[in-house]
Amino acid sequence: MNVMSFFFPAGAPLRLMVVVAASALLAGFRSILVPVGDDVRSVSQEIPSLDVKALHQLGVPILWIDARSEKEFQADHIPGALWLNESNFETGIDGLLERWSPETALVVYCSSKTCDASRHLASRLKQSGFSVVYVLEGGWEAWQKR
Amino acid sequence: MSKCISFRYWWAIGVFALSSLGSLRAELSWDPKPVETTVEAGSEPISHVFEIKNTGAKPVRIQRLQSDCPCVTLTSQEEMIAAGGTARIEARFEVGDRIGNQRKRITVFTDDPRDSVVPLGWNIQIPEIIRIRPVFLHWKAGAEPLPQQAKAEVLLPGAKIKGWRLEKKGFRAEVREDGAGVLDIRVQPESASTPSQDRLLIELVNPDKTIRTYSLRLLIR
Repeated sequence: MNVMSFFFPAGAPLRLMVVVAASALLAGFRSILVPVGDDVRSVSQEIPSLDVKALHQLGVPILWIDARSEKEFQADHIPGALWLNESNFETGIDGLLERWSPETALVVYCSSKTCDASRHLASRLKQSGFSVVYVLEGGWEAWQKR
Repeated sequence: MSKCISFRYWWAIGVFALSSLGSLRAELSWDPKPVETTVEAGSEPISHVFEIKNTGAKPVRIQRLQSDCPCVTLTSQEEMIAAGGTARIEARFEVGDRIGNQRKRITVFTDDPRDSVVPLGWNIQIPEIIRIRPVFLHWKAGAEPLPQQAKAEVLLPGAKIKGWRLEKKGFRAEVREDGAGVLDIRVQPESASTPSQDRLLIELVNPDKTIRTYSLRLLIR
């Protein structure tokens, strides 16, 4: 069997084989060309994200954490939310502990689906010792549309 | 014969027209590799300028700039990328209290049908100076005040622990240093009958001789 007959066996439509080969090549290249955000994906696997409806069904007190910018927080936020992001983490954690109790679930939100700051912050909170941490799916945008 | 000439004539015009149309389009190019930057924890904000070149013959409008983190602010001096021109997108990253590998995605939206979305990446490494885990110890008010443990590990080469102290009274702490920058911390409240809060402060001397203080929070609630 020569190389050509291995890749293009008799009877198989040549065009189809070329399309399959090209698709496989493109898929391979894609994994090389899109390295950005891999870390974010691994972070998101650790922290569960829930939509507004699912969060209301949790049955535990929720402490909302707004991970957006201070300007966005001041413009509007989920009632009772605490402004905390990684910029002010060291000082913000004291404010969080003022309001935290072991029964509380921390729910972190950012501006929208495209914002990953909430996942980064949620991951850091978990590493810091807070056991129940979630991310609000869709963020502030989803909250407004609820 | 005349029919043949006519066919060749129109064929040539067609090819020319098609190639002209092709050359009239925009052609954006940028570095697809994420930019790698290392910065010290707690530093001032840092900036990077991303360049998008238009090597085509048609100008391109920048419609919107988007970042996946409120810590990255984006500005562009150019609204249009002229044919043969370059747009400079300035990204400013607020370091603040961030640590670890910060992978930021920046998206430039344009009116070019071929490259309507230009993805840019910026990976910022912020080495952690000291890792305190957990960052707080909690006792339930009214429960038995049993001892609890935490660990502090100096990660910045050249940094050294200067000392530690409890901010207030009401807790007892035992701290053992292993000589390699690791502190084994054991804390016990004198009583957990009423809610209270304290901090174990750890002082660290950085290689540049500056002193910074880090906290392990102690909470009775």
